[in-house]
Amino acid sequence: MTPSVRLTGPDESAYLKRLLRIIRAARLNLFFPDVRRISDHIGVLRPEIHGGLYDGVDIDRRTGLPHYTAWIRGQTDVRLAPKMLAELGDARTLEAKAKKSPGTIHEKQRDKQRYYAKIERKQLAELGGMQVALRQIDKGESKAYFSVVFDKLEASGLFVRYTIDLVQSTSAFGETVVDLDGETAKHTDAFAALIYKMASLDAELTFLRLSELGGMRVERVTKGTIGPIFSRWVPASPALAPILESDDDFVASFGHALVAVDVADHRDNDPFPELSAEEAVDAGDRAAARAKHGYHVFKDRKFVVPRARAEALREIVGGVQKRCIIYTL
Amino acid sequence: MTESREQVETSRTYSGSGISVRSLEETIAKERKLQNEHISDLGTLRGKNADLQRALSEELKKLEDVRRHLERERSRDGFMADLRRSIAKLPFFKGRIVTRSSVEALLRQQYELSTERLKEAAEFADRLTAAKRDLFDEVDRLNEKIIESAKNERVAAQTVLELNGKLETARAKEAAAGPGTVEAREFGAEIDRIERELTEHSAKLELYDTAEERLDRLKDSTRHLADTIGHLARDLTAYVTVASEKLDLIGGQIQAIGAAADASLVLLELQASLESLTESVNYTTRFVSETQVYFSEQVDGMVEELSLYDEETEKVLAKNAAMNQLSAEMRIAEAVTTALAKAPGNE
Repeated sequence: MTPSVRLTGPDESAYLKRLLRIIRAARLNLFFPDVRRISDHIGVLRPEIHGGLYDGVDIDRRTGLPHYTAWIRGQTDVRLAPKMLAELGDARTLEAKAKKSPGTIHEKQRDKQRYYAKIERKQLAELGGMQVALRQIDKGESKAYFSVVFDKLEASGLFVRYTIDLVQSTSAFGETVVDLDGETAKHTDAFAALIYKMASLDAELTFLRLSELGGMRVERVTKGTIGPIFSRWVPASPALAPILESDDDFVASFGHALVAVDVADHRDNDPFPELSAEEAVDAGDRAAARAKHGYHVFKDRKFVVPRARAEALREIVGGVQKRCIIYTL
Repeated sequence: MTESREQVETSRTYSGSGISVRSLEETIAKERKLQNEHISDLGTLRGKNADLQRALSEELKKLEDVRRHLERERSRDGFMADLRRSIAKLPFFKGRIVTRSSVEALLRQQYELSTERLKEAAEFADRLTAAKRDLFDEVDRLNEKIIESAKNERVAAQTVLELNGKLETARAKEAAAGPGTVEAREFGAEIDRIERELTEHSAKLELYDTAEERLDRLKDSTRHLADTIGHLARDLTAYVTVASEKLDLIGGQIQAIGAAADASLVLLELQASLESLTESVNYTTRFVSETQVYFSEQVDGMVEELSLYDEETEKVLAKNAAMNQLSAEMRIAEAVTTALAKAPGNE
């Protein structure tokens, strides 16, 4: 069972409010999951929005993000909101009934109408969705250049975005199918399924795996990760535990990995790669693979901490010879 | 001493806005229309309840099918290699090319669908509870009207008795005054006025009696509707609570289980967690069929009963109109009999 902690009352409100501030403070770019959607999704879970219809929010104790069931709760409610509003009926009628019969089901129905009206048009985070954009077609060379963006709430509890630039060439260029290998089907669903599994791997392994498929050349793989966010509710890794001195302290981390043929050199600026919770897969001789495919790997990580803890974190990061961006709240 | 020429004085007054054949017809028509709307709403609720339960049962059954497939294939050699093909055989995955790597996606998709169905069912249960409350408010309202009609009926009965007494006194005095005398004429005029009043109050007695009875039947039907909906709400709430607990349990595991679907040990966990769904699926099936039987027995009969009573009411009202054609004496006699039956001590 995924470990979780239920936050209720003032803790629920304070935690989610701070989580939103942390994500905004991290200044995440397009290589991370959509910040606005993530924020709207977390916003839907706030007690100021649901008005007490739920008795708390479950937080994943591995990552500090909402638990999978909490994300699903928000998603379900937004999807059903138009239908529920139609069935609940007129707000004034519900208000009149609630006033006439306080403490009854009519108050709850009124509160639900208010809740669904607030969330009806929210655009929430994709918990496992892919978008493919065509960048360019080269008919002369029978090639199509795609950019694939895949967002996923990983099994580890972290939120990741894969951005993959690839070039597809096929002998049957006129078809819309992509024949990758014998195990996957010749359409985008199969490609999505492949990337779905690879989300738990590091970016380099994903680059290698895709490069081995026929009819495709991978230009770039980027992986952006939101979390983990350590606090009194989410125990920190040993290296970062010293940052959490008081109940209000936290360390939020955001990993970024780039694998591309046009990166100048290999560079690993991630002081804590274990935070990405990627599957440790033996990919053999990576150096040989890099030489063969001609790519380089750049890894980085940035942080958000309370202002008073920035210096302590800087020392820890410096202690492993890394220099990372540290934002403060 | 003769009574005032304008109206015979009686000691009691009616409450409310008065009653007539037309006003009673309008009242009953209005209440009946409201009742029809409630029954129609109940029919809609019934259909929606069946659809919801069927959909939820199907979604949960799919998760159960995945469990059975995994159980069956697990013992075979080359299980992992065949897992993709075995998943692909599931009817609701038919047509989609499935890879081993997408087991997590499929399980999550199914879980999310089940969660949506469950949420719809929970919201529906609340709607039923609210509808039940509204109907009990209706019962209160109808009871107020019934009580008013009953009180007015008693007033009418007592007025009829009182006027009847005055009529008998006036007739005795007329007879004693001798035929053709001025006094006899005066008593005759008084008799006419009393008889006019008596006719009016006799009619009121009958109308209030009919109103009380009819509103009482409507109230009983409304009460019955409220009880039916309450029964539905209770059952549905209990089911939603159980299913919700089970889905919560699965939700905590589903990501890890899906992601590690090719590990035998995790498959055992998957099997165990999905086994708990078997109970939910059986409960749902039983719930759906029992609810439908309950509806058939209660609601269909209720509609027939109300239609039948409508015919009876029409007969009473028609009879009332026909009675106007009969002589005043016959009508008054009947009213007196009714009034005597309703006098305190005789009820």
